[in-house]
Amino acid sequence: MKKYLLTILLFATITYSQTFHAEKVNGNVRIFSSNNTNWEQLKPKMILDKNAVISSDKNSSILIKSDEISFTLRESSAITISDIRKMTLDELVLALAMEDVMNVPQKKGNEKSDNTGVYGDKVNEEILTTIKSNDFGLKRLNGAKQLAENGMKESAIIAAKEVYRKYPETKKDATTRIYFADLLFGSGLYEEAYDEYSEINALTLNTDKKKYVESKIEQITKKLIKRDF
Amino acid sequence: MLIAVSASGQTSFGLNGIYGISEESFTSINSFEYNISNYSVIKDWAFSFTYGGEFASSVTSNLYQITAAKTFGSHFVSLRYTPGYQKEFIFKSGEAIPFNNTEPINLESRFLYKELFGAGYSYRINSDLSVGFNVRYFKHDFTNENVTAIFSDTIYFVRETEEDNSELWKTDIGVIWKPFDKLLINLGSINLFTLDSEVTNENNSNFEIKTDKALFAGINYSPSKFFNMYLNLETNNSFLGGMSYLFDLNKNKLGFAVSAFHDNEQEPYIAGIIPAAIFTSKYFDLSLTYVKYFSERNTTGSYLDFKIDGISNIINNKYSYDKLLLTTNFKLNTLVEQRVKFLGVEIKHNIYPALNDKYIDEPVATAKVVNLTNEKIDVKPYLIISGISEDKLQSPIVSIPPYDTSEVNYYAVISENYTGVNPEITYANFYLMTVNDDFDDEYQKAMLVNGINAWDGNVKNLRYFIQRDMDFSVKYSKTILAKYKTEIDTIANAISNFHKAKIIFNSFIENLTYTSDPRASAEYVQYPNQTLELKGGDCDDLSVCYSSLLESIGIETALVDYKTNASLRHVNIMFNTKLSPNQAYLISENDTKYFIRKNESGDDEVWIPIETTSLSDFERAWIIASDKFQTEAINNFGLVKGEVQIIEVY
Repeated sequence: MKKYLLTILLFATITYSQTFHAEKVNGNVRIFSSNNTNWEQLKPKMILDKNAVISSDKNSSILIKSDEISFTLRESSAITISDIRKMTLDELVLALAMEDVMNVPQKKGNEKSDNTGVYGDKVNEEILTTIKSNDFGLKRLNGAKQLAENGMKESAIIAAKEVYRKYPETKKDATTRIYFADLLFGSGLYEEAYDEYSEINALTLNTDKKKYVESKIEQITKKLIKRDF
Repeated sequence: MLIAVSASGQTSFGLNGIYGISEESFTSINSFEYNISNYSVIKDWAFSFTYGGEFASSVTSNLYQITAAKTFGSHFVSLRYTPGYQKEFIFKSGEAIPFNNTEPINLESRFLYKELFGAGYSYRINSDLSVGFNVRYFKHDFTNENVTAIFSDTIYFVRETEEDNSELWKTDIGVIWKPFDKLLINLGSINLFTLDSEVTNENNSNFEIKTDKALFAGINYSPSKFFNMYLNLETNNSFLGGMSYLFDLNKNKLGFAVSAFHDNEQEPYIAGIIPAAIFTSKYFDLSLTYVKYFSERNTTGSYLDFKIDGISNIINNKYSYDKLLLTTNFKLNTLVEQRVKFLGVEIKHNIYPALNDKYIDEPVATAKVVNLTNEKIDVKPYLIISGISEDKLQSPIVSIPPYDTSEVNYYAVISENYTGVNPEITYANFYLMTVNDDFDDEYQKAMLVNGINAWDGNVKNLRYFIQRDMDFSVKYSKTILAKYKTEIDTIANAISNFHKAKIIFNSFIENLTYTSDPRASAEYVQYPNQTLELKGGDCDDLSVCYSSLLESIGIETALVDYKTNASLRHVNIMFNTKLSPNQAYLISENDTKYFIRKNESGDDEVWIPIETTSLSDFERAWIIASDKFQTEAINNFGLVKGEVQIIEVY
């Protein structure tokens, strides 16, 4: 079914051509422009390039505007400007298919050995500390939620998916995941929602959440069975 | 009194020991008796000899027949000389006649029957149907002794011998039809056309070979390639049936046959049995045949009975004796038998020498080939591309079922030493070989061989340029990294790939400039050493070069093909930092600059794109490439729309 939909939607025309600027800035809001190598302070009237990332600290916010959209990023949130757009359901399906296309294709047999010896290896000599990069991931999830709250549910789903890929630790937050799973469910993407609820169900959940997630899985199962017949 | 002096056999009844028509060649070369249509499976020349002995009162031996046969395409001709096909009967008068007043004499009548030679012709209409005829020449040599009284001063008697010879020509026609693979039907006439010269003495006409007309029908059934059954019926109420079983013996066959026959003119009902031992090979056949009659053989008989019954077959009649016969056939093939044939050849690719490895996996040409034989054949395809490969290159063997058509792929190996820089038209010679020492068929077709830097425009195939110059790249990368050994030794292992890629890029771009493709009409790609030697290149050249340098030190790369602008395509690369998403912060705080790809094990890894035409520094090349990838591949869904493609180098 997913493939079928994808085939139809390949002909959809999608372009991203909005230009945003910072209308109003409160507190500490930073921007990482796509042609820059560091964060910088975001100031009112700044033109925001489409791949720029903006991030607000606690008690800070920013109002950004384009010709069509006005969007307020609240405190402790982050978002990529290109995520602020209205997408159709068809475009959402296309975007969801992107992950598979990105992945390294499976080969027949294991033809390739890992590189273990170029210029010597240091596998045992250090254990890297991975700092808590979750903070920025959580900010990104906040930003994604705000997209949904501003009527851009499809963009919110894609943004959240990207966050979960780049910040895998954030996947442990069941409450937020349920929020985005509900968005998938509400969009009628039952198979995708089913996968998401199933993953959430594998997390450690309190009784209420467990009950809720299981009821959603049951609902989707019934819907899918009915659809197949 | 009758004395049978010489001996031989019967009508639908030859001397080989097998009486069916089958693929075993000796069953059909020398026997017009049951192979009326002169059917043969001989490919070229064949010679047959039968030598044997008859167990009469004393053993007499004879050369029975010599046959020479030849196939001309669909035509088959055979000539048979049969010195041993003869039978003589001697009748002696019962009373002695005083002769010259000295001693009495017995008068004799001799009846000698001979079949001297024959000729056969057949035409194979198709693999299932063959028609033909045979002509046979017989001779009757009859002599009668008489005593004539001479009256002079005294009466005396003179013994005179009266010779009465006549000839007989017989022509019969036949057809062989193979309705199914395992079944063969053999139909023919008996004595259809006869032409004889009259005997002088009318009394002798009763002794001539009987030529009553009849029909012959044979059926041959082979349920397996080893086992064969046959039944030959004649409308004169005679029949012969039997079976043979031949085992595989290396490439030869060894076996036995046994047949039984009923002759309308002989007793008992089953007049005899014919066991035979058989050996057949590619070049010759042998059969040792024993003909055993069940009834007591008549060595004497009544003249009157003989006058009434006569004989209708020289080699098999009620006066014939048991026989042991050895038949040898020699098969000489002076022709190279074409077993397979080209129906056509399609060139799949013009040759791009740089894509050498591709032609090992993908055929450069595909031929349609037909198996002309009735057996499965293994075909060895060979290819020579003039100017590219002077030795015959063998492609994988293809098995083709009998009379079937199959596709045969030709693969090529282009020498790494090939240095042609300009495209040229050359000739590809395609060959098919089976069991013959020579080729069964050959085919020539023109083929375009491009220069060593030519590229077919398919970004996927840039990988061959990357892989081909790997020795150079290894040396070059190692030389660069050696200069930064201390720095590399001190950095965290996790970001080793990233750091090495950065060092190599920054070193590699020194003194490089972007130059557009030197040939407007053709895609032209430089090998890494050329790019570095020429100090520049276009996006293809620079991507190939950087990718090759990274791959040479074990950093996984992929080409990114941007087709968003149909008239101006672009290529850059991305490489695998081997970082997990949790470690990505080690290289950038901007998470739009890297992308997550699952590896073959299903683990997420951080990849970063690099714009190889941005020759300022690594950071700038990264920023430009990630911005382009984010916009065209992700935001505009280029990846799912096919406008942007990630192509793994390995």
